Amino acid sequence: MSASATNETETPDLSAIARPPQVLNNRGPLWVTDAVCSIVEGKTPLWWYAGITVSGAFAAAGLACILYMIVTGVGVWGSNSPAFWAWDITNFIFWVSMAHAGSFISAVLFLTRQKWSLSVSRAAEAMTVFAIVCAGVYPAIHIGRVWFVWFLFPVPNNYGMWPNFSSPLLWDVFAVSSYLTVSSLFWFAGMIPDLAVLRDRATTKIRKFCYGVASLGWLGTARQWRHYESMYVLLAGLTAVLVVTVTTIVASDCATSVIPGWHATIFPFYFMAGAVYSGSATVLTLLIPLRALYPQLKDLITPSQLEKVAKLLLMMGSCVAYVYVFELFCAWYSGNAFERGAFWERFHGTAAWYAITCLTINLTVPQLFWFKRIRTCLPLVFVLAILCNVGMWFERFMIVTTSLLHDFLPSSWGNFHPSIVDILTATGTVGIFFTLFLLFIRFVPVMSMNELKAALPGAQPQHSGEEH
Amino acid sequence: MSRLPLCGSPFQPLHAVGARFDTPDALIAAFKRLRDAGYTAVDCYTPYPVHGLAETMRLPKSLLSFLVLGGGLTAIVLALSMQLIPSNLIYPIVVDGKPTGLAGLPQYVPIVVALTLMIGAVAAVKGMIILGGMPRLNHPMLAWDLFAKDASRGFFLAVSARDRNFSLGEVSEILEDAGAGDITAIHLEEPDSE
Amino acid sequence: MKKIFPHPQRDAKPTLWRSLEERADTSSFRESLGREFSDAAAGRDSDGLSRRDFVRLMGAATALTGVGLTGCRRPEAHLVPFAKAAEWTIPGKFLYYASAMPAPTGAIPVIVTTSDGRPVKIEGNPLHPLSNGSTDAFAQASVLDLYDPHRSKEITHDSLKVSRGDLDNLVAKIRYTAGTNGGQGLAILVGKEQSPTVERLHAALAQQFPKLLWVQDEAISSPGSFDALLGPGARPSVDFTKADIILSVGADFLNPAESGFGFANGFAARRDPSGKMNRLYVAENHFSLTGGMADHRLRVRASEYGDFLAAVAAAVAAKTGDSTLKTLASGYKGTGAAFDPAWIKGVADDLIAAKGRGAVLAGSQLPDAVQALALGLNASLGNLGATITARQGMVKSAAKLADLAAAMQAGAVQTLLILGGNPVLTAPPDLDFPNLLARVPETLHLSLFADETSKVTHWQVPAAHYLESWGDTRSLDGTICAVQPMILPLWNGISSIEILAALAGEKVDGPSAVRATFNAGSKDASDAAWHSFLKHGFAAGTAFATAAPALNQAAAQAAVQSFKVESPGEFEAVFLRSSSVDDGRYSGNSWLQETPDFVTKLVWDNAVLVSPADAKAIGIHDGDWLRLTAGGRSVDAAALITPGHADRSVSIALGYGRKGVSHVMEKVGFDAYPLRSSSTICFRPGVKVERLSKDAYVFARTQEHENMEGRNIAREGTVEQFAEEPKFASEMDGELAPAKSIYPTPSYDKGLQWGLSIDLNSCIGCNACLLACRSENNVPVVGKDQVRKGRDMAWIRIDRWFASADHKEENLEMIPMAVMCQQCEIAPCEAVCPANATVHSEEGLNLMAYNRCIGTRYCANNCPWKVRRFNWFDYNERPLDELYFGPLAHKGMADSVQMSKNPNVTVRMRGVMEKCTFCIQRIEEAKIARSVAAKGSDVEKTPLPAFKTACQQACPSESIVFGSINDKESAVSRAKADPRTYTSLVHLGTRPRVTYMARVRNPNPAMPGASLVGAANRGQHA
Repeated sequence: MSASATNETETPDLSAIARPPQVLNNRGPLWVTDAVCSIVEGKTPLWWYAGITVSGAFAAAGLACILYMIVTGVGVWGSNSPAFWAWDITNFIFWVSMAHAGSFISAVLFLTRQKWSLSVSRAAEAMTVFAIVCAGVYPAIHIGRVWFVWFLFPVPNNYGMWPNFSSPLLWDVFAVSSYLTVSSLFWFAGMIPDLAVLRDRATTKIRKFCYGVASLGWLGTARQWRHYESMYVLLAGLTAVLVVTVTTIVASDCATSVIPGWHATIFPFYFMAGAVYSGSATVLTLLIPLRALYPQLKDLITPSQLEKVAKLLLMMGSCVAYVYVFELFCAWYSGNAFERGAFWERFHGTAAWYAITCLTINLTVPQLFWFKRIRTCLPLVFVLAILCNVGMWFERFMIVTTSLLHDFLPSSWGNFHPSIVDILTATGTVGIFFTLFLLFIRFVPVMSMNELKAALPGAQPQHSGEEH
Repeated sequence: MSRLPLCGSPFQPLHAVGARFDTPDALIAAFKRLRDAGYTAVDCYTPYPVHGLAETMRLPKSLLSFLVLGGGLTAIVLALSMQLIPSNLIYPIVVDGKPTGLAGLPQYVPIVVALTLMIGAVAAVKGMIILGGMPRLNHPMLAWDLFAKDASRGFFLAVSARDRNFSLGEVSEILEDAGAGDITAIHLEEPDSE
Repeated sequence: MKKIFPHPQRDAKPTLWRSLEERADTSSFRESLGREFSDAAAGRDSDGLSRRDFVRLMGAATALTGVGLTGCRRPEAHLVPFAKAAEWTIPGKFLYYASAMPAPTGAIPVIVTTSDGRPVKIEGNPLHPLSNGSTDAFAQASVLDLYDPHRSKEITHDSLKVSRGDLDNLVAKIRYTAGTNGGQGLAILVGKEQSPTVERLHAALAQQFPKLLWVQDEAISSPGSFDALLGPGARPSVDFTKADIILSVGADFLNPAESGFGFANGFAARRDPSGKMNRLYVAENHFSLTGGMADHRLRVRASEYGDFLAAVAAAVAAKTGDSTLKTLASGYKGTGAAFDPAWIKGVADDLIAAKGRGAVLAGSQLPDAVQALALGLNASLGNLGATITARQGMVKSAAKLADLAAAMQAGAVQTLLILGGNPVLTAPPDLDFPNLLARVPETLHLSLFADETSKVTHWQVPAAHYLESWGDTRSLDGTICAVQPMILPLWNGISSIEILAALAGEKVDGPSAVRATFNAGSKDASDAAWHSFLKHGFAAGTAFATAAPALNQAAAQAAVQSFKVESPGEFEAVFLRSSSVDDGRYSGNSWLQETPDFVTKLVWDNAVLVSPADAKAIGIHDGDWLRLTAGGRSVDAAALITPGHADRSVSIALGYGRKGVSHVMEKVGFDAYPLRSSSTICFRPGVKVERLSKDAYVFARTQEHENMEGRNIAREGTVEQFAEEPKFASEMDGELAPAKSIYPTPSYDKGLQWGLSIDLNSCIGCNACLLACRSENNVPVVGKDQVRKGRDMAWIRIDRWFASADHKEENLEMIPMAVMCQQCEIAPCEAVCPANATVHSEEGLNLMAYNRCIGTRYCANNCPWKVRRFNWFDYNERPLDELYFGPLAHKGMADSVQMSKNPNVTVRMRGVMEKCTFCIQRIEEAKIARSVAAKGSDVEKTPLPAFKTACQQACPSESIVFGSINDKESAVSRAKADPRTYTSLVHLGTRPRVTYMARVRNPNPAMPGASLVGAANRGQHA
């Protein structure tokens, strides 16, 4: 390691163009292992208990509301005619989109050999899985007769009836479930070697057993590593495709309909941009505090990496902004009274403030990241990232509900007011999300140790190339 | 030869001779020496994938990609028949005036894609686990405390005692010359012990 | 199938959801049947009548016939099936009986559909000369009144439950005393429904007890009468087929409840632009159905109707030099209101040009002076005898409520039998009726519901609903209609005829009383004649004689001269007949309560209707509170800004704000009766209107946005437009041409292909179709709170559009447009349903499989017409005030309400989407009948028996046409071939099976703003 250090000092001209190191202060592999494992092995900090109590409470309240909704009727929500979908599908799209950024960061950046994403990817994947869990809640429960949800699955039944394969909602069922499966697999498979490390370091029998089972008896033999690496590439490839597919399918919920404000071919791209935008915002929202709470991670989650995520956010935020403008242009250019009306009402109707909030945030906040000063000031980035997600939620509502409020016949135009059940269910999903995330940082390595160590300077053999 | 530290039960047959290196280069070098000496049953254990190691060991290319391809193809067939058969043969019905046959193929694509990716991914993970000789809850190497506790700290190498021309002396010499540390004779453990 | 969860009685308030009671033991039941009037239900303090008990009633009744007990109240003993042979009922098969629904303005001849002995649906009797088989909204909803668990169920004396025998004793006692003193101190108050039997009994009573005070009045009725103007018993009637120019002044003659069922016959036919179209001028203070149809409409305050007519009369007189008319007009000492002279001139000239082909109508509730002016105009224009005839022989107006009050005041009333109406609620406050009533020693109230009056009378007697009692009644034209019971009185009700018969000392027995009247009245008193009377539901040729009316000019002059005009003051208050509860008699009917008002689209409430200008002046918005003060009494009510309303005038519907009657009526609207006085029944000048600083009241409206936003949804044009371009409506599609499908699409060219056409030109927006649909398809009621949330369930709704090419109040037009499921061939809702719960039939119907629906609501989102309705809660099974209680709410529907459901239509559970399916149950019934008729021959070739959808059947103006569009000869195919036909939202390419025929107006070019008439699709843009 010292050798490689000297190498760098000998060639100062390179240091100008040299990529910033992934791990600061020339930390070695042993240090990395200890740093990461210490989070799991060390004593549970107080803030963790505090955090999980709060998030757990919200989650419990949310689940209670869902139960009440199921036994009483969808009417306990504020949904009505014409807003047959409101916060339920809004939150579904919000969460499932947020999930995409996780897969995007880990899979796509892995395939493109973006080493900077190594320390971020594990947390991002976790975020993906948990976000999909939150998203999956809604399609399951928002229907009128939950107990017949099995009608959605193509199973032979005594009615002799089959689902309608041309319905975007049925596509959702398959898309979301496969997305959940694949992203969990991706997340879990990535953890196997690290779980093995925890198994080896485990002091108590229970931990040893649990991590032992979880790590499937991983030894790290050359053969295992060979299969493991090719699996990881394959999974990354599949996930990258899946991200795009799932977004497209979810977008088709809107795009295939006839409702002005929904019926637009740009929606897949629209949703993808928004997805990665809100997802990278969430990554920042999660990692910046994590880094602050666990000082040992400061060398692993480096400012330059966070800055790159911020740049990603800026790029995607700009894409979203482009779509906003493009949508309005299309509405105007279409010359179709209904299209124009829909967008006119979006900003004049009773629910205009949703759209206005959405645009104010999403058009301004990400643009602040053009300035390095802002982008690198982590506390500020943290706040702005949260704002971005707020804006994204409003965008989802704007798309889903305000479009419904003003469709073809003005006679059926309406308004929407959320009920307390709507609100508690929504906060409940947030609670579920954070509960799961807290459990995650407490019980599994928050970043991929093997990838990190493999990427350390001097981790790879110097003369391996010569062989054959 | 009895000066070698040993682990496991001395009354059980020898499983292998293990050694520990600090750098991947040392590991690879030692491996080459052993190979030149004609040892074939040598395995390497690393905390992270070491580039070139597999090539040095002349490991075959992983078959995983073919498994995934197979899985994907089956998924396509399954997904298509799952949709086409009910909507055309079992339960044909007019919905939105759309054609249900091949003319209406686009409406079947999303589910096909989703299922293909899912089954492909499952195949990949399952394949990795099986080809990697997993899952297993124990392994003779784990009788070696140093390895069991610190696998993540060093680069390990084990010469199986079942190797055709295995000689404890020669192996330990070669390893010592290669600058290995903690050369240990790993015996199997008592079946009834714990 | 049906689960009944017993739960504790809820005594707090009567509810629609009561558990089953124990059965009464058979012995007492037999005995009760043996008695004159069955006591089976009254014996028990149950709100609901259990179905088992009901079946037992029917069954036992049948069984006992043979034993020779008097089953006189059993329908099956006396009825002759209308459509089917006189065989005994086939379980599950409908039987149809002819009957009639009595109404103050003229009975509605109906055919009652009964299922296994339960009346479940009301339809018009097409055989009746006045009826085209249609009904009005109230008739449709009357079924629910029959089964309403809130009906009063037992005879009470000073709020103690007494037996039927006690009542008989009371009547006997009254008869005895009357016999001794010639009826001194005996007063009987009845409604204005005309029943020959009641008239006969009245005559008999009057002859036996000469001093009897016989009072006949209604809450909303004309203050004066035509007896003086046109001669005793004469009432004007208009032949709209002959009337080319119609001027209506505050006369909502298109509203059957207002003018009498059948009054406007022939009007719709004259609106067809392919024929000679009539022209309608309307001067009114608020938008009425008639105003909505007007070619030229002028906003005039109710207190200036007279001035307006006088002005027109003066203009006509000036041109024709008719001196009588001149003096008549000048004799009217008006309020000095001025009107647009161009308007007056235009109308006058048009009327003169159409001498003998015009008609001038004044609102039936307006004072004699105004009637005199109208009739004077007609006389001078030679319309009397030409377009306007007089029906003779109407009952001469008897004593009024005021006379009764006077007698009570004088203490001349010892016994008062109130056999109709609810005077305590409706009597003008200045009569002080409640207190007078309290002073009468013996009072009896016969009513369906224990209402305000029942609470203060000594005796309260449950009345029999017209569907469970014998009687007869006259329709508007005087034709005598049979009123036959379809079912034993559910709760032991008694008809007024029975009480009067008992009082007159006749056999107390509905059928024989009616038969007696029939025998007396008709030449042929044979059983055959009687049976055909019952079978057809009316006695042909019993209509009033019509004669050319002769206006008694002297009387007219007198009326005008003597008329004293109150100065309208700053504001006037106009009292409206509610389109939902009439004068309050239907307040308990949740179907009607949830039926939107014609114009305001308001449900479960009334409101103070204020013109936009006034609203600005007073500084109020929708829902702000106003206090109306007049004659020392004031009413606090929330205001609703209503386009097209006259300025400095407010309107409020009567019959709301009733308290302490039943919880269905609680917190429903505001009581306007206190504002009335016996001299100002129809409107009250000099009302003080002040704004209250209370927080705004939240109305429940089914349509809140009334501007088409420049979208060509409801389309209209003018006769000129139609003449030069008949297809003007479909040309409005413009560049939004129908989208093409890239897929091969089904052709739907085989067999039956259902389609429907709605003629916007004849549709007046009268709500009859809404009620018919609700009754036919078991559409649930959701209550005010849910409607506020936008969750009303009506399968067919009437969108009411206000349009004005220049955005001015003056030229505002109202266009009602009925919207139901459009049955798109390429249905957007189908594609998105993941469960295949909504799919297409080979007959082109967009089917809805309720038990497959899981309630994703995606279909409703994707429906451009938003005609799909979602069961957000268990509306059928849970009390509307406990919807949010979840499993803790009481479960189950009152058994009597269950009896009102159409057995052929599923009652939907919560979480299920529902919508119009063109009454598929009727389609299937017809197809089954056809297969039976085919008898093995080719079913396809066998003609389908004629049938109508519920909405089509109820439509008075026959605007809705339904049938197979594959049959080029069918009415619907012809309608769709009409050049005015267009498809709404055609550019979506969904190929709806419902098409509309554009409205055509017939403006008079000489009128101000004529260029803006029929311009709803011009000028206004979002």
